[in-house]
Amino acid sequence: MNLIDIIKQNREYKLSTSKKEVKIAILANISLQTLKPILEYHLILKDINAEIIILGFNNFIEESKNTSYDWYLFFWETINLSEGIKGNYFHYSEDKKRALADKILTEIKITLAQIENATSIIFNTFSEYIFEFDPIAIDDSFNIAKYLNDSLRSLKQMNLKLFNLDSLIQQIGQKNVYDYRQFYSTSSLYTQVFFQDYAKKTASFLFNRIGGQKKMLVLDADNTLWRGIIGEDGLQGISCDINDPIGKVYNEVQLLYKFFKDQGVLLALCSKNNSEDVESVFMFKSQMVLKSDDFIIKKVNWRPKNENIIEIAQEANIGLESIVFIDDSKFEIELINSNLPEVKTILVSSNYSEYPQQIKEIYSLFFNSTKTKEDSNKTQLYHEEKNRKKSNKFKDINEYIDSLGLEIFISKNESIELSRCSQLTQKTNQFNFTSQRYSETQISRMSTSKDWLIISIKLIDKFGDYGTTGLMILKFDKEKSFLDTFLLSCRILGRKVEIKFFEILMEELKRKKIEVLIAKYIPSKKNLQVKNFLDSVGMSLVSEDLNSGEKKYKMFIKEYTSKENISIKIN
Amino acid sequence: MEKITTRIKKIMAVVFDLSIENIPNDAEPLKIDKWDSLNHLLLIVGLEEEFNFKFTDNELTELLNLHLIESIIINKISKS
Repeated sequence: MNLIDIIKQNREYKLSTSKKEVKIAILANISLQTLKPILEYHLILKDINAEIIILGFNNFIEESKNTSYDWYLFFWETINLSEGIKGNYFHYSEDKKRALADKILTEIKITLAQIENATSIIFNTFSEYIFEFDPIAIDDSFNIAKYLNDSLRSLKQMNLKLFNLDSLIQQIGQKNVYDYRQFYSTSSLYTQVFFQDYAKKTASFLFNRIGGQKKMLVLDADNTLWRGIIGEDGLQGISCDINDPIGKVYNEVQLLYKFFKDQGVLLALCSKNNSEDVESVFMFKSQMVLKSDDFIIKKVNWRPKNENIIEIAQEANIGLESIVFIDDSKFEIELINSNLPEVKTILVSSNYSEYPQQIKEIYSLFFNSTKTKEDSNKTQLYHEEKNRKKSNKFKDINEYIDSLGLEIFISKNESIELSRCSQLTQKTNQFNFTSQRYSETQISRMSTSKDWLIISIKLIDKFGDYGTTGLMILKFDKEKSFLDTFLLSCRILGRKVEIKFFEILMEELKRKKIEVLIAKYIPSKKNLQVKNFLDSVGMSLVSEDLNSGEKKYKMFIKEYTSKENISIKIN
Repeated sequence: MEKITTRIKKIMAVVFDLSIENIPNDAEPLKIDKWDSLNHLLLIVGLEEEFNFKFTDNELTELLNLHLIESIIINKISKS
């Protein structure tokens, strides 16, 4: 189905459904706008009413902080691990690659720890394909993607599930996966074909986790537990014997069913036979792995199987939707499909060799959220792990920031880039106290006026340049100054740059011998996060308009003391 | 055959969640609330599916308003 029809259908569904919304957040360093409707659509096909929220671009730590969605999906793409990595990777030294990989790994750990209470997290593995140059020519000793994937696999976070992206890319083929046309302009990377397949797989995984939990296997007997028909072939004629090629398959399948049972799946038997014939198999056939009392309910009779299955569900006190029914007869499978559509059915393949694989594939239907003894023990471990992490978390973040080697470059008035500064006032919504929008001409006029001061900052770290990402505009009136604009692009937040930025302002005012700073917080739809920032840096609230929410602050410059020692170098 | 403008407007109506009458002939991002850079991506996919072609890199940078979109599409169809 095409995208426009998908969007239409999603809207219709949302209007008509009364199902509770599942909130799914996507954290990414590429644009995923078109994945949103497609994934919602595939979830709707399974009657899951999902609201997908795409969180801020390429700032995983900050964007995941203090959030509480049910699900998180990560598109942490290798192609945007650092600015321009696509072209630069081949020039990186091995040390640089290692350092970058370690930095990303720390970011991953901090991010995941912040959302450890989420129901589930799907994390796409890092793909190595963008580094592939020529399959023969490049012999790479250190591969960032491989290193990160190995580290991800060793993380023991209970709610974390890895999506093997390379495996999906192999299935679809690289040519059908990537679309670079809008990569350089808007960081879009994937085709619709890829999104469709990705969404389909993710939706079935989520479905199994949310509500599709199966509890019971209802098994047929003849040609399902053994080869042959007991009523016709007799005890000697049927086989689940490892010395017989087909019997071997049935032996393997019985071992699988036994394993399911040991894991807590209920087994029931539903067979059209004389009950004493089937019992004789259990009693006298020594090769049988499954024993009579492995089945909690047995319906061996000549009545229609749909009636038997209804009785089984009632006796076991479970819903029909918790049952998986397995039979080698097309007739029986279709009977159940049309009469009891809630029951999941599996037709035993007429190619015997495929039968064990069929059973392995349904494992996930039973074991996505069931709590077994082992699981509850795991839960305990998980809680301990959580407490340990909590005590370390703060230390981790500070150490991490220190390790980044952050440097700020300050530009004032004439040296500022007019167009970039204007763009920042137009585009920055979150960390922006007044949301004043200025054109290039206005910025230019202010930058040459004595009454105004414009300060912009550039941020770099060990791995690259974030560009001009902070701006403040001050207006002077004798010894007083007004903070007209104070903003930072959201992709650099969370590194204490905001506090440093305020320090820079204070230094500047001291140098200019300004005595008072007056500032305002004007609420907008998006700048709630800075509501209390000015209080936190020590400004005093002068007045607050209860209708508009506007707050006015004042500070005597000489009273300012910096509260933290932040290791960001200023140039 | 449906007019090309109408076909484009139909796509826009869905992407921007408006009725087709509310898409003016001089539609552009400043006149339509939901025409932001994110929904622009959906619009492009919608148009490519509707007209069954792919825009080139250069065309993509020029799809700035309804008029330009229409002329680029007409131009593309007449060439094929």
